[in-house]
Amino acid sequence: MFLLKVNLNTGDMRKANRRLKRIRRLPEMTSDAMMEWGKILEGDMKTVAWQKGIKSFTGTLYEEGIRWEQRPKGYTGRLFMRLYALALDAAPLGGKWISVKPSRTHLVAWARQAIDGDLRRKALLVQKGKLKYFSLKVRGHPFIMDGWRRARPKLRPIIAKYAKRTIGG
Amino acid sequence: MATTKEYTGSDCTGSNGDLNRTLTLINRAKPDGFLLYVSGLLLSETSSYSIAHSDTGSVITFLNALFDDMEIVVVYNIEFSVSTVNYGNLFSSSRDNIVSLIKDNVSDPTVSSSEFRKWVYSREPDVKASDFKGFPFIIIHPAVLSFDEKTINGQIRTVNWGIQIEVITADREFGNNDGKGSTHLDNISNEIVMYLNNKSNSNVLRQNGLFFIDTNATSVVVESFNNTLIYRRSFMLSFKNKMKVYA
Repeated sequence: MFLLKVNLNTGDMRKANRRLKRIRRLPEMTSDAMMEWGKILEGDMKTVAWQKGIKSFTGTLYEEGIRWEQRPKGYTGRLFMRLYALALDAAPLGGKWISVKPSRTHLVAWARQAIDGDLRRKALLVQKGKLKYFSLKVRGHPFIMDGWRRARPKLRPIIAKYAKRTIGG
Repeated sequence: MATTKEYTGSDCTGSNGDLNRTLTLINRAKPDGFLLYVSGLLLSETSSYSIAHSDTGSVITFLNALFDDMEIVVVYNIEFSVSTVNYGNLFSSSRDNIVSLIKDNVSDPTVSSSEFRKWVYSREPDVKASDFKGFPFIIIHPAVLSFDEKTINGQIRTVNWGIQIEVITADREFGNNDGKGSTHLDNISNEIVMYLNNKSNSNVLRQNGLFFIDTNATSVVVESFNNTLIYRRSFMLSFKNKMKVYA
């Protein structure tokens, strides 16, 4: 003889059981939420870079040059970015003098595409070996922090949405 | 939610004192709850005015003489154009319905009710372009889709939509709008939330396949761009439906 019979498949217990099953899916949903936010971060970073006038030197900055990578069910995501974009962001705002010389092939190639005609001419002379080097003042174009600031507040509502969908849905 | 728009006789076609002058509303008005006042007097349909609806708006024809200095007040419910979401238009229709809801209901604080300015975009507009129509503006991003549980044959699945809406305002504007970035941001945000939470609007969305609408707003991000302070707030919208995903 029993005093109380509890069946996991009836009434409130059934509901609680179902909810527990959903809670088990929470880590998976966290990963999905992170993926959705990561894509938003990638998009915001590209938008900010475009708005700040960062040129796609290699032609791929606005494609895979800035990208979010995460394994399908992974808990770690990474935002990748081309090194020259990172360098532009990190360079001092006040500017600094650099030497454009033949050994700095990327810099020479960049100077060859400059809008300034005098700079293009000097870069050509350096490339041909007719000029040893010339000096150029460069300054930074910070944009990464702006992209981060734009995307960061969106993380919370996305996680809330996924949590609601998993537990409360 | 009834909208009240104010005009004068000069906003109508024709000349001062003419019969049959017309006034075009930029939204399509619902027949229920439509009220038209001229100089404070409520007009009755058929004897004083007639109204015709098209896909883009409604046109009111005043049957009696209308003078340019007469004040016209129109109170109406906006009928936003929606399309049913099905397996063939999961991305397009879900977003189009939200665009329609926002465009037809939320009012632009910088222009009067009789003017039109492009201010709803699908991506970040080029603010330096010559054809940029100015701040504030709204960006409704493309829909994000994900699927959950499915039936054994996979024909019916739980579909989850996510749509991001961004409201962007600036402090540096012309005339009276200068320095109102934060005020405009809050006013536009108020209207967006109000119309998304409105019961009749969510019923319309539900009837067209977008269930369990949920709106979450982010905190305000203040940015400096071209020596102007820009305010940005995002809304993360989500919907859900259990539906057929292929024929």
